[in-house]
Amino acid sequence: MNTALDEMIAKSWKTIAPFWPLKNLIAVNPLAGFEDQPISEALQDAWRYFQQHQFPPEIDVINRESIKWLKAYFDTGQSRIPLPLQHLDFLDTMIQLLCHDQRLIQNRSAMREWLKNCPHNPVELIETCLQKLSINPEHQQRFLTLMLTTLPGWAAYAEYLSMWAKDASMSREAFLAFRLLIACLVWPQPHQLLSWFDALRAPDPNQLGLQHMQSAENVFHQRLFSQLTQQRDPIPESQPDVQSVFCIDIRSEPFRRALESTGNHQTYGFAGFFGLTISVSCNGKTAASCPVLIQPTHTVKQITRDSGQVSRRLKQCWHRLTEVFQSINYAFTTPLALVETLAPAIGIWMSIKTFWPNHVHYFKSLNKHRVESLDISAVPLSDQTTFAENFLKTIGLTHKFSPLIMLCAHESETLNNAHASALDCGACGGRSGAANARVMAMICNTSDVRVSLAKRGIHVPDSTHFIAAVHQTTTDDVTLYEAELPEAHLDQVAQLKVQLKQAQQINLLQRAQALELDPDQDLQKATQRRKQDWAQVRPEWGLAGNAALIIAPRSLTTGIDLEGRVFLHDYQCESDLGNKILEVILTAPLIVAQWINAQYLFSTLDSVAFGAGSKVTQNIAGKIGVMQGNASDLMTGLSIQSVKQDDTTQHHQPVRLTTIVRAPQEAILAIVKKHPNLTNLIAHEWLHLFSIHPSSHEITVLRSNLTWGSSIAHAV
Amino acid sequence: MPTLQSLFNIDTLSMIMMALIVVVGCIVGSFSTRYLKGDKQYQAFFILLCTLIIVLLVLVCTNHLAIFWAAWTLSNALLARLMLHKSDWQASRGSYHLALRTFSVGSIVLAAVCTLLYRATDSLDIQQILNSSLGSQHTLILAGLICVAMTQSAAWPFHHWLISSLNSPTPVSALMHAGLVNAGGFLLARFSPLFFEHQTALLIIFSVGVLNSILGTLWKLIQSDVKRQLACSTMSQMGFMMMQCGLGLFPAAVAHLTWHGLFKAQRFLGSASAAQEASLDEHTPPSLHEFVLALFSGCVAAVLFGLLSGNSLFANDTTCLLTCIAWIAGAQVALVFIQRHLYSGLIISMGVNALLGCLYGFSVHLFHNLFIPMHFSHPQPLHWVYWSGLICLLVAWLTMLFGGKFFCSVNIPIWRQKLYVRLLNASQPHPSTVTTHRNHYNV
Repeated sequence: MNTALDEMIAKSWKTIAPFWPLKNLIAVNPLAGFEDQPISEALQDAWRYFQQHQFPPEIDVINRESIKWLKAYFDTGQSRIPLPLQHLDFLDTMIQLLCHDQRLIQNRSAMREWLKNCPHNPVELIETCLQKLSINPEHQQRFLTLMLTTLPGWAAYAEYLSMWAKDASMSREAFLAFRLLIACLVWPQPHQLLSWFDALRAPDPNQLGLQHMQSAENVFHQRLFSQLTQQRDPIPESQPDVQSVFCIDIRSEPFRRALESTGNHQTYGFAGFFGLTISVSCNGKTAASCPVLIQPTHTVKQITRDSGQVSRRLKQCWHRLTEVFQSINYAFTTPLALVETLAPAIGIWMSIKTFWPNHVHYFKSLNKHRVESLDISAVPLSDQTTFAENFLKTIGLTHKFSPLIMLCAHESETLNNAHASALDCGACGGRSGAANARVMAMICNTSDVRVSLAKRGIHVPDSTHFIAAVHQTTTDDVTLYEAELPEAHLDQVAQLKVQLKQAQQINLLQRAQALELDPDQDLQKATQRRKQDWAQVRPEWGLAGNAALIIAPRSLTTGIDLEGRVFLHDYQCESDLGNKILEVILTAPLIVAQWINAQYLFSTLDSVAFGAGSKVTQNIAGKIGVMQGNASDLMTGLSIQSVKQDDTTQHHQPVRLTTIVRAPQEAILAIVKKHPNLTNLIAHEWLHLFSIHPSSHEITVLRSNLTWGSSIAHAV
Repeated sequence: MPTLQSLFNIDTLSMIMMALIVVVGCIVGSFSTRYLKGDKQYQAFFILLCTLIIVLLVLVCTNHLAIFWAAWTLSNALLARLMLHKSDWQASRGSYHLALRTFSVGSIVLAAVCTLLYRATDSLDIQQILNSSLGSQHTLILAGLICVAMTQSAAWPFHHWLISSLNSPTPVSALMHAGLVNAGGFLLARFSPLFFEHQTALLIIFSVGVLNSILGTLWKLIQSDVKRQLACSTMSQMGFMMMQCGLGLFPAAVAHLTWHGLFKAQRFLGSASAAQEASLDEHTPPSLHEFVLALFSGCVAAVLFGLLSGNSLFANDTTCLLTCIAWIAGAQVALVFIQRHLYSGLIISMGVNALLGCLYGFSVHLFHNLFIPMHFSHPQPLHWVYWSGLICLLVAWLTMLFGGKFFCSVNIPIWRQKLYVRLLNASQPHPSTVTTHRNHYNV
């Protein structure tokens, strides 16, 4: 094998971060491959690779033809007559079909012959093409990189397929070979591309947004630190009536603050998958419900059952009608009659959706399955106990259990929104976290688990009940899963419900201004309407505004208005012997938060090169991603409407993630040094890491040379 | 000086068109107040939208040839301007120029037609023109009208502007597919009395319709993005509308363009949910037994359609073509049920078909009745061209039904691969309207 070439291929792919398809959009740092460089250099490199507007004209042709074929091959169900030969792997299909493409071959029979006889092994083909294009060995690396970075969206999807989805028919080499193949067909002398790139002179990183970022971060730090240092050690309070655990998601913070103000509540923050490395199977489909960095180890089954006979029948009918609709719509001749038959009803339906979106939910429920229960028998008791133990120990909930403990997941429900899954729980792989909360509550309520937990030093009293819930982030509605609720807890749950309603109202008032809602109106109704409105492009602000991650007990932040900008992860350093728990937090939730932060940051900095442009002109390709207009590269990242108030005014403030850990400096530094990706992030200033001293509350910064310094000096 | 009354003539056709324009206009307008919120062009969009609606209302009501032409040209210009929403975006300018070029051809030909009409009848009053004889210029005028209708309704070979128009914002696409492409059908309907006695012209319209209906569907089924799929579908639906004009059944054509307008507006405005829409139809070719039963069940739809629409089942004229299409659609519906449970499926499917046949029949009947005072319906005697058209549609349907694996079998012959690539290339948008690099997009 040609190791030099393999190395070049691997190096060229380093510029490309993966892109997850629409069904579970995962936030990634679009510049993840540049994290081993200082951010100032990375911004300059990114400018040269991704933010150019003028290209040699032949690139237009190469891209246009690439897009045409990639779109057809990777379609996941939009077209009803799929691409021929799709059972072969990507490169084989493409080579065979390109032979017939007159737009590329243009009756050049020599070209067709060459194409027919070219090697089907991707690496060999890359080598052949590089020779045919007569690229010198010293330029090959650069040329391969440019073949990827000039069509970054589709390359990102190929990176996802080959490296994350482990799709056997796709590989990094095959994608590169395809790009080179098209180049061979339309641009025999592509050296101009290299000279074009060499002539690019990147501006000063400060002009690329770094300076703005830094000053915004300084302002943010000063405010946050003064709030945190003024915080006094809490007076030990009486036993709270209810303890609840929320996802670290920034939308939990204001809601937790609101809930705490309604009664004797104690809240915790933990990654929304509750530490469960599970996949969830429902109606024959299985999907991982944990962060993408982690491989699921167990599968739990969702049992869907519809409450009444009538509603089940109705759903069946609806399902069959949809089937009829699709079968007539996607055939010859029959769609002609379909229009006249159904249009009167469709006209009425469309008017309701447009003028009275509040009434849409009567119909929408027809499309949803109610999950009656979950089958966790596939998870052995010992693993259940370990899950529960890790969960409780991480947040420090190992004694003083309240009678009612609410495990609250979150999800979002919006209509006519291509990026809907970006509003769901990132820790659950871009899905609702409801299943995870329910599974964890079931585990913690199992008496055998409690017996085993007691052996490991955690005594959960019999009078304690865990109840799962899900927080609807668009409307701030919280739904409790009350099945199998012991009678003794009925009163408490009733009271909790009242308090949740109050918290909803308080939080909606806080959010009203950002959503441009009149605070005097019925906010519950207004947000309900937003969620069901098919014309609404900003149903909620999602994770816009995110700026910091605080890894500390809640007492450090109780009562502080963090403005919904902070991920809160509970952590008790005193009970973390050997810093095992801290290591997990710094290598998993921290990385997830940094990905989310970087996605919002870069989508705001350049909403076309790193974001998806405006929703107004988006067009969904192959059910996997959005394009702009007739045809374009896959637009990775977030739409303008998710980060900006209007086409020009930012809503999200582009800042790097600030991480504050309440733990001894040595413990943090040891973990950072142990993990090269963390070392990179700190040393190259991709994030700020601060330590709060557990007793003196002194805040110190971990500088890029990996030494501790005063945070005041940093802020100035 | 002509009086206001002579300038405008409100008849059934204009009333139906006005209703369609107002309903679609209000829905698109209300939708856009939220959908375009924060957009730089927000105000400009609404000013253009309102102007366009007013011009369209004038177009459908006017009785004056010169106003008709002016409104026609102006409305197309306004639509093209609406398409150019993001004017800093190169591809969007490409779509704009392409549309404008096609519309200019239509507008120039329409101007020529109007001049010919004026010279032949010495009148600018449309109603008067329709009732007078045109003499030797008649053929030329009809050819001109067909040409204008084809440019407007994006019939092949004038289809490029429509499948390259998706750089427009979603509400503009909805408006275009629900409104402006229908103007071709409206034009034919407005001047339909000129066509009644000329079966050759009707046969030409019919053939153009069949061609576009089949080509549009074929392209639609191979597209992998939602909006271009919808655009190709519009092309095929416009083909069907022209077919109905060609059959002499102008009320049915107007019914089709009205209902299609609502249908397509909904599909476009909801296009952002395409990724969440599950594909349910598995599409396995039926066995002969199932197929025969399905045809039987389809008869229910055809009979009820015939009864309700007032078309005699065994009519010796072109109405029986519509009945045949209802029959085909009914058989397709029945297959969904029959392929699941043979006999109980048959019973259910007959019930469903009865309902759908009634709905279809009723909507055609409604328009038929509305148009009685205008004497719009002139079913033609059955000509072999009509039969061949029907056979084409039938064969296309059967090929898709039984040859579902036509393009995706494991041992697909070379000629089919070539055919697929040819179709794929033919349905690509114009090169100047493709955003070849993401940074060419401009907010």
